[in-house]
Amino acid sequence: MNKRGQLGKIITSLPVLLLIILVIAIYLISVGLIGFFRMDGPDIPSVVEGIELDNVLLRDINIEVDGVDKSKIVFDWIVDLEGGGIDRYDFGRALKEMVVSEKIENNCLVIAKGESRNSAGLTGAEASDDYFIKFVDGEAFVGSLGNTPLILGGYESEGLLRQVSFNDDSGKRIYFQYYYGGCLE
Amino acid sequence: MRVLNRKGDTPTILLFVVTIVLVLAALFYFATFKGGFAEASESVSGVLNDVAFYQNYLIKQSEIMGKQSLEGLRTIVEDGFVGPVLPLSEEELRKKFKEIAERKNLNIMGVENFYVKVRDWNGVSFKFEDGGYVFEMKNLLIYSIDGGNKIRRTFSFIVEFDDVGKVVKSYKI
Repeated sequence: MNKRGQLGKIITSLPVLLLIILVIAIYLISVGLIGFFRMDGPDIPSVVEGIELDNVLLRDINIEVDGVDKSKIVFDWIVDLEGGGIDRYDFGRALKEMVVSEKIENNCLVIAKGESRNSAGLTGAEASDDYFIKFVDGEAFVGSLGNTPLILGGYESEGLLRQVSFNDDSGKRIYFQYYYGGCLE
Repeated sequence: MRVLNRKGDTPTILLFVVTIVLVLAALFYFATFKGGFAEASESVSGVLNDVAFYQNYLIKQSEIMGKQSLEGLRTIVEDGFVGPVLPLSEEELRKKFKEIAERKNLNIMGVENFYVKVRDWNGVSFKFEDGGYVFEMKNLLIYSIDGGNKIRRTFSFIVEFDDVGKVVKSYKI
């Protein structure tokens, strides 16, 4: 029997068709499920980026804790602040001292902490852990709870804020945005 | 009258039905797609920023811990003493560095490997070399996880100190 003209019939035969449907179904289900599984990427050795150790979060500041003057970097103090280890007013005071000691005219420090991304500019309770310090005419001005959100929102709109996040002791993700440089007009 | 044999039409009809189903599925996917590329991109960018920061953070912490170790161990020289000050041994430096690292550990997720490596002194060295002190850590793993995104990075670095504990330079290797 000459089977040359049978390919079309084979392809459109029922078993082959069911097989094709099965393969497509498996593909669609895997695509749908892939979002539920976190896939670890390969370890990429990093030698391309330089080191940036003059980041404001890595500056040493002193805060008195239980009557003892302690020195830590800003980031460590922020972790302590989140854990309730220090008072936010003491932290704010130490930041102000740092800005004053550097004596860079028209320099502004912005720190905004929150439980979601891009928390700068949020008002109310969300703004209670935000800091804005401006050094102008030889003096440091500290933003108030009222006007700080608006000011911070301005820096965020200009894309000046950098963001870092970490997990606190309870596993909650804490985000904070920061900037230290020339003030926005 | 001869009845037409339609048995051979079943696969063809099925092909048509399956095509319709696939088209509807694709349309459904398009309709429910939220276009959230920006949101996904922001999350990835966030973990990348975290990892870049953690890298600098740990190098800075190594500088601080190394400096504090050297200052804490510096021999007190009596007045009138004439002679060379012996360099600190690796054993003394290791013990002091570990002690300081344990105190400074804030249990931040993503940087645990640094403290584990220091505790086990695995891939870590801190010794006197060429008139100063050199702290080296190899194959340090850091990571950041946010939602469905995770970035891991492995790097090695060196911090060089002078003989009184001042940082001379830090660099990745």
